Amino acid sequence: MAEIVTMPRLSLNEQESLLAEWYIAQGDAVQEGDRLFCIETDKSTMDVYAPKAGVILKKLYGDGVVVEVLQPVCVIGAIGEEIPSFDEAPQQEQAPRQAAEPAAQERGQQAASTIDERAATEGARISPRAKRLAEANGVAYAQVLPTGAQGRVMETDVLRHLAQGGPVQAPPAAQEDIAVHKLTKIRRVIAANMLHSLGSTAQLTQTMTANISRLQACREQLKHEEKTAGVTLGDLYCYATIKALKQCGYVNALMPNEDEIHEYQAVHLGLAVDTERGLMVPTIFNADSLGILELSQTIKSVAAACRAGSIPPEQLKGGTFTISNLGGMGISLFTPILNPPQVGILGIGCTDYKIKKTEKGMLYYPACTLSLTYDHRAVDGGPAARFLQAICENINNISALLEGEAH
Amino acid sequence: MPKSLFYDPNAKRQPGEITFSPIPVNAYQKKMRDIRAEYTDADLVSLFYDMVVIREFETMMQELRLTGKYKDASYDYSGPAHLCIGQEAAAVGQAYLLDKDDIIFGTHRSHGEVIAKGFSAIRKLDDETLMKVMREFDGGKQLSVVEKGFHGTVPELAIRFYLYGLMAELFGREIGFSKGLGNSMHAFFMPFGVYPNNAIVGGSAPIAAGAALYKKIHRQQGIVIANAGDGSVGCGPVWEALNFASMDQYRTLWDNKGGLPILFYFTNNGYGMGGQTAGETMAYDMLARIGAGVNPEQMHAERVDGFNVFAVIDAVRRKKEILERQQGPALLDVVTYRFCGHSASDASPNRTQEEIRAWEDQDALESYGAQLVENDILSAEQIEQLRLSIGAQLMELFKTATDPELSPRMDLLARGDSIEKYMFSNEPHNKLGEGAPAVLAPKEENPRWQRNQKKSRYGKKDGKALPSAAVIQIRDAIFEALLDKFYEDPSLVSFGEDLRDWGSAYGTYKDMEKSIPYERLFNAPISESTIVGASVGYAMLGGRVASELMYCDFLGRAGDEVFNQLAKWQAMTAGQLHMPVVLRMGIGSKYGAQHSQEWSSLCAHVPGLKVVYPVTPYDAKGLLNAALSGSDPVIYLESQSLYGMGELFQKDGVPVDYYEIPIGEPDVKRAGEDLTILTFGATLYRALAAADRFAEYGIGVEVIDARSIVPFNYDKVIESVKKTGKLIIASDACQRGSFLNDFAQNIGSLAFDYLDAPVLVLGARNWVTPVYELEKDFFPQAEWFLDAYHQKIQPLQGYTPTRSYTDAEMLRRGKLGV
Repeated sequence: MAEIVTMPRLSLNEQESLLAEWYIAQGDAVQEGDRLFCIETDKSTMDVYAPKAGVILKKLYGDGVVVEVLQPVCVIGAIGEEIPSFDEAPQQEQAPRQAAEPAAQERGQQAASTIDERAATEGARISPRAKRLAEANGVAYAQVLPTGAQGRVMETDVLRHLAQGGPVQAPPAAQEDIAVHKLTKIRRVIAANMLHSLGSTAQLTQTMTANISRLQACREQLKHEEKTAGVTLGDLYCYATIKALKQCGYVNALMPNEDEIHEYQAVHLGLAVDTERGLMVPTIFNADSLGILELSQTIKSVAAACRAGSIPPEQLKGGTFTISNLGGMGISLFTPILNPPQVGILGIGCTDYKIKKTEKGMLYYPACTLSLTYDHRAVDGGPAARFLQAICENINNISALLEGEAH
Repeated sequence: MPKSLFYDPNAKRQPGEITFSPIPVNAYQKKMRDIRAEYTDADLVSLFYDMVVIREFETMMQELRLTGKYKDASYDYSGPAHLCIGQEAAAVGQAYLLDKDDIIFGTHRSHGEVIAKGFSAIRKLDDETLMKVMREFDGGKQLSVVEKGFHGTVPELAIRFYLYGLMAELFGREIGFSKGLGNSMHAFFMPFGVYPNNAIVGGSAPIAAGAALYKKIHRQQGIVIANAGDGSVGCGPVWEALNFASMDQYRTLWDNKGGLPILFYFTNNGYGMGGQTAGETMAYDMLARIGAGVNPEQMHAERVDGFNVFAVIDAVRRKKEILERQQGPALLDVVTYRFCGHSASDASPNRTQEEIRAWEDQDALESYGAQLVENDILSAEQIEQLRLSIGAQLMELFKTATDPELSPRMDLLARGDSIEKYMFSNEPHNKLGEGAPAVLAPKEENPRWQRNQKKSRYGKKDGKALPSAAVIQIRDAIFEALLDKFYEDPSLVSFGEDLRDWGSAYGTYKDMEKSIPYERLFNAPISESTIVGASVGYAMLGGRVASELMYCDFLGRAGDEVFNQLAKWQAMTAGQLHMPVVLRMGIGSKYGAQHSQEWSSLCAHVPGLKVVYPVTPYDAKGLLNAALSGSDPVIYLESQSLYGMGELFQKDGVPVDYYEIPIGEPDVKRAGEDLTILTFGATLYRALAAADRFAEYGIGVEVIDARSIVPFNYDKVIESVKKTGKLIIASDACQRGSFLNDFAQNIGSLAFDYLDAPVLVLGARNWVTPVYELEKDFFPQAEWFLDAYHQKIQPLQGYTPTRSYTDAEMLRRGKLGV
């Protein structure tokens, strides 16, 4: 009996996934547990394995195709075995509830879902009208999210894409050698999220410079103990920030709609991680309950999971505040983009040296510029400044904080 | 039905018997010697001349088809050649007494009748008239060819003219009498009383009946001859025409009493193609017998010896007198024999050589020649000389008619509109006849007209629909247009089933009989073929007809008359005839599979018919006015479920005064920005209901009522689709083969770059129409539009479709043919 391998549903909200790459060809023999193909969801990448041994009788899609979840993707069976027809079978599952009464009695009579498998096999579909508009505006329509039946990009989709400032390209000069890259699912999601953030919040960035001489000294101390040798400057910044978030709860908050702000007791810290496939933001849940050591280890493990593509989708959401640390790459100051509905994100810069005039004379000190982007709908400038001050104070008093933890 | 005729049970139940009079069979036995004194020598020679011309003409055609040569001249002729070799006396005898007012209609085998009637007319017209005819016909083109270097008399010139125009027509030349669009089986020359021949067996019978109707109603001189063969007696339309021409009402109900002036002339050569009629395929034994089955006068039927030209002349004389006394119609069974096959390609597998030789031994032509010699009118040498000279003349004309320089064909590449321009005449006339229209009283005295004055001309008041009885309904709008035209155009007549007294099945004619006399408005028998065929014949003589087939489903009964006759004669005569016939048909509802079909697509498929389907009172009156003032055949469809509908779109209501809506112009019934729905017919109202539903999803629908499908101006629809990018096309016709698919193809092509989704077509299912209670699963309903939109254009948020419009379903239906 042939086995139909379907596109897995990785989380409840998942409607479709990108079948990124096949590891096998039609006709290949596979053993149970062999890798079949790799999928990218909105937030992660995952391999799908053969449920049984056999021959790949049929691959229904090629590489780089968006497939609705639970739709058949390939068939494994014995050579010569009859392959079920896929013209009708998938629709049965999607038959509208009402149709189940009289109409469903007749096979093939059922009304279909929004996107059928045909659409996917033929690649990106676009209406002539939308295509015309896309071409006139230099929109590569593969980047446009379709809303039409059978996965077809329609005019409204291109218009929405343009309104959201979606990428457009100048028509390439004929002699130029350009490489066209189809957007990966993750790239598309990043693009959409970033646009959404800028389009739907009132965000601005303000900066403050922290004196990190004590923090540096604290880290030197930690380095000498084997247990704490792995704690980085970045971990300490996170620690100081988590403490500040506890002090200024109005920043540890979400604004899910225009009527409410949800302030959280616990700090679920989002951490921007740069990976080969693009930006990922894993969440460290209840980060405020972690000691520096646990925090440091957790940060390392989630970042590694992101880079390996093995982070579970559930851990890519649910944050209440985000930290983005570009200091390691020499960036001193930047304007991080909010991750809505969060109302704040902190950018951490590199270590710099500054001079400032004090009562005791000119002070030369190591400094770090903190860039706080916040949603002005939820937080005003003063409280935001107080939050930054709190972080700076925590950085200045980091040893005391760590000692307090020990007790 | 008329209350004036009492259907008396006592009389109807009275015992008795039907008696018949003897029907004469070959009663006339005289030969030339017996009637020598009644004819001049010249007349007797002319009869021979005509027969020889026909024989030679047909022999020429036969040789061309069989050998590719006429004598030594090669010509590749592959057109039809249904020849009448052997039947010449029957044709010449028929034409001999006919004059310019008498007209004939023919068959696929009518070269003989065409030549004989033309020659007969030439002999009866004076030189001046002949020259006028030749100069004025087609701008004198044929004349200019045949008069070059010719020095004979005007009648001789006219014979050259006539044979040349006829041959050029047969050989498909633009200089032919019908520009080569008629050819062999449809030859004619109306200035000499030769009306179109018909390639459909029996096709001329209903048409000739309509022509006779015109002559009767307008009290014109002359008779009409419907030529037909014995094989045509097997055809329903022929029987219908016999009855239509003989209806009792001409004597019992009409002021203008008397039967139609028509002679059904059956050239009985014993075979319908191959089937031997008497003895094999028919039951009549002798064809003349059928007259006794039609009316008490037995149609004055007789069998006549068609090998004896004098017998034929005698019979036609007597029948002509009967018709002129308004005691027609009449029927002749003229026995003859065709020596050649059914067509030149027919090797006569059904006949023995013995039989053919037996008839050839009695050849009317040879026997007539012998009588000329016997009676010292011509010597054998003179006869030989005559035949040679006729052969030489035909050869000369044949060469001229096939000369590509002198007689070219249409150049359809250089002049692409050569045929196109004849498909529709597009020559509107408010009236086609002179004088005051025959009516019974002033229009204002018509009770329905008076009632209409009191009705609201707009269907709503304060935004609410008024009760049907208080408004001008579609049936009233149709009535008004017809009534107005009856009072304007004296040529207008209406006939169909149950129009008078009953007022037509759905009341469009109700009370019309209070204003319009019988001869302009009468009940036809249940004879759909002849209702349409007679309309065609009536229009051929210059009149206007508004006829009716009660249900569109009955169109099949009139298939030939609609598709081969009504549609074709304007173009087949290269515009010499107009066809101002409005054929109204109701599209039924609630009555199941044979009474609820929308067959507009069948009509649109056949070139030459305009097709309209108004569904609002304003459109119904405006389009009917345009149709009734036009010169082209119009299929005018009506929805029986909408007859009571008031006007809901034109705020000023249905105008009392005359106005026209141009045929072919669609109308935007509701404006919208997001989706275009194009409907044809009653589906409009369901599309509007769908538009309300779409509005709930924020989708603005533009609903366009096509109103016409032939012709059709796409501009408005294209404009709309450019705006919306999405199109659903719908009607109540079964979807397969529906004209909707033409719309989809054309609009898909014209607006391709503007389409934001595939064009969707919503027709009725490809099933038999079920009972009324199930019609909502058969005809497109409002929710079908949403279902299709959801699945094929763009999913509607939160919408759950009930019907499948998936590709898989489309393929499944295609595979099963359902």
